[in-house]
Amino acid sequence: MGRSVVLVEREHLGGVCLNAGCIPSKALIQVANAVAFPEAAAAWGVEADARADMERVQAWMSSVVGRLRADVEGLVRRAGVSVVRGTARFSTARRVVVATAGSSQHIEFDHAVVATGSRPMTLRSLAVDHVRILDSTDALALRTIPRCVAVIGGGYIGLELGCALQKLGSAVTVVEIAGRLLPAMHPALGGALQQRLSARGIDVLLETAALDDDGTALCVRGPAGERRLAVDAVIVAVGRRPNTDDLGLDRAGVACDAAGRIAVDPSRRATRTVLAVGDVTDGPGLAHKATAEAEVAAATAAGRRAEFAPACIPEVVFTDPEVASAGLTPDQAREAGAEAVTRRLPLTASARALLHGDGGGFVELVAEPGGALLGAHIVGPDAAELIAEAALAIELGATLDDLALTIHPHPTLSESLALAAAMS
Amino acid sequence: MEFRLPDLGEGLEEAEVVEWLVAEGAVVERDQPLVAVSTDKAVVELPSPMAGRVSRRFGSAGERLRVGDVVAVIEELAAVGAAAPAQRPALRPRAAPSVRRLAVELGVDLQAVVATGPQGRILADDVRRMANGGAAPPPVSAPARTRPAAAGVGQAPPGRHPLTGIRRRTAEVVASAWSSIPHIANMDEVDATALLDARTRLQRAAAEHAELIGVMPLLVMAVAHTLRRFPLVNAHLDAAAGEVEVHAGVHIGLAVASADGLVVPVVRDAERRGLLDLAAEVARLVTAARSRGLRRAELEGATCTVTNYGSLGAGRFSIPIIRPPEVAIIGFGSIAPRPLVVDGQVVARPTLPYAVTVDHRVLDGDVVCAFSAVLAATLADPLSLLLG
Repeated sequence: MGRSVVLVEREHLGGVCLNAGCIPSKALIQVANAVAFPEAAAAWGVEADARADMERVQAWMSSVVGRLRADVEGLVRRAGVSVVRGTARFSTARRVVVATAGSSQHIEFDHAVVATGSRPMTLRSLAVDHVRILDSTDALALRTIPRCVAVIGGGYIGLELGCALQKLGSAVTVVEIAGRLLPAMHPALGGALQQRLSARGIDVLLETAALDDDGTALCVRGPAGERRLAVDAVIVAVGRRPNTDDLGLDRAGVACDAAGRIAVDPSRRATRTVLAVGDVTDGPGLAHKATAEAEVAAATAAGRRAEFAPACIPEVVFTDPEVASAGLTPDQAREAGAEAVTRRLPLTASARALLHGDGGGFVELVAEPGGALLGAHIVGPDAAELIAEAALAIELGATLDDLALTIHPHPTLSESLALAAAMS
Repeated sequence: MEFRLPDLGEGLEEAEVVEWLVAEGAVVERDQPLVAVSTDKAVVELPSPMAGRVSRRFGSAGERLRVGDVVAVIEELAAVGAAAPAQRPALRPRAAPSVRRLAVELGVDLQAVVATGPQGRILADDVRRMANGGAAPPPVSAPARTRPAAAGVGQAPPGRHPLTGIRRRTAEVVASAWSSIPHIANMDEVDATALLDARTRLQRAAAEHAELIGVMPLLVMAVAHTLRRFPLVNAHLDAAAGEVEVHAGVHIGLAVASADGLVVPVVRDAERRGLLDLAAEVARLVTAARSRGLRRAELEGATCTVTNYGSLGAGRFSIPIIRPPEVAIIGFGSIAPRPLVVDGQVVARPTLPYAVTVDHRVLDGDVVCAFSAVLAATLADPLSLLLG
């Protein structure tokens, strides 16, 4: 778009996703699935044995992350972006000061985009010591698998880590303060997932608060009173906090809400000169949402008219089984004034899902009475891959009939979307 | 930044300061009214273009400002929330992401776009058409909107041509009407956002009849609805007898341009019909009018006439001629984005121009104005049609 761009990064290019989020966690989950595979395959008559060498696993994960980071650096370089290493703070609405080791420099700008991401939130009663009390970043870098782990937080980060560690050999207890797992998503998803996790041997404690830790046991309080969990490690995964507190935003005239988020308009403007994207703004803290917002912010900064107004932002959880959502839940649809109809297909109806295991998942579609798809919610194998079709359908305004009349290949998991749409 | 007197539309060059609504030094939000100014037409509150501090005001009450004059200086300061909550996908106009992006780039409000895609979907061409100022977008298959070849309009070889058939009859009727009826007219335009939205929602709600549900049936319904409130407008004048006959039923004549000339089929009992019924009847009569398929009885008995010159692709102001013995005719222009003052701010909105012409022998200006006001209110909020 012909603008001169300076990128200020204090650590590694690639952000949370690439360095301490999606990518390393998916690598660890893939390893965990490989380790757990013989157990699943035993039911099919396959005998095998698998074991993870965590030193080599970590080396492999680092190499993957390193390779992707190099790719990003190459992309940035080829785009003609100058990269400045350091920590930026606003000094006015048109200038940042970048502190590097031993020196500082001023950068004047027409537009600044704040994309500083987020960091793990902490609990006051459980200070992360990175040895026994871990945050999600620590948990992704484990070189030995703890025998017994308590995961605090039944959101997607805690559950993904909990599932992976359980497959790698840990006894896992998930402690969630809300009344269900995945409290931010369609209620039925957390319920279905909980059944499957319990069947795998993961303990789930709902409506339970973590109180403190004495070095050998974690004290929690739930509906049945206080209880001590003897564990070797505690993973705190209670959410993430925007990195907005140390940016000098007030000097640029940018305000944050109580949760530290920057308020922006649909063009991603916080003020006339400052724009913001990603975890520092409202909405789910997801890399694909940040990327889409960044496209809009770039266009806005280049003087074009652009708005971030997707019909849906898909959310995916890489547990076993996977969980994925796009668009509205039935309750949200009703709140928005639509009389929603729902179609829920149990995955026991899918031959392909049965081949994957014992079913138990479902596909639920939410639509306007006239049939236009408003939301899709899936628990089951490869749900994260399946949700993209539903997202496309929602964006294009497809109806249940459109989905049902689109020929889906047999036998695949994707058929279940068409089958659900064809239900009456 | 310097805030200058914006173009207030309608060719106005000056405005007079009526009252300052904020003090010098005050901190204002974006869109907060700063100052009230009066033009020849109205008192308008000018909203702040940005959040900030009003460091200077120019012009005190009674002072005249020209468009472009600095009205105030506003300094940017701490961001005052510009955030709008993300819109839920439900109930948004149905349009693919690429079409939505095009609409943002072209500054088109999707709510105002006429959809021609399947099941009420808005297509890229619909957005472009709106951006180019045209609103009505004829889907080829819709009988109600199919027009005779426009290429033939106004064409004839040099020489003398006799007036025959419909042409001759029209010439007699309008000449007599024009010379005997003292026409008075009221012309205005109404925000058509809700009307277009209603049309789109109705198309969505009755997807299998989407093609029938154009704007026209809604206009006819609104006119019928208004006529019921003004029986004296739904009347015939018998000038020879010196009597006005007020009709119980509302039978609306539809002025249709056919290849043969102007034809006016009649929708019987328009006030009693549901929208789908009305839409089907309008479509049937228009198609029949263009294919010479009307029976004589279908051309007689109108108690008032609607002429939609907007469907011919253009038209804003006009004085339609009354068809005696009727005492009124309602004309509609083309729906297109035009500047409108909404909440004291000039914004682009799809507007529907209309004209109400009446026979001054029967009706006075007060009726014209009252009738226009009810009609405009009905068109601006078509939901009110549900009240019956």
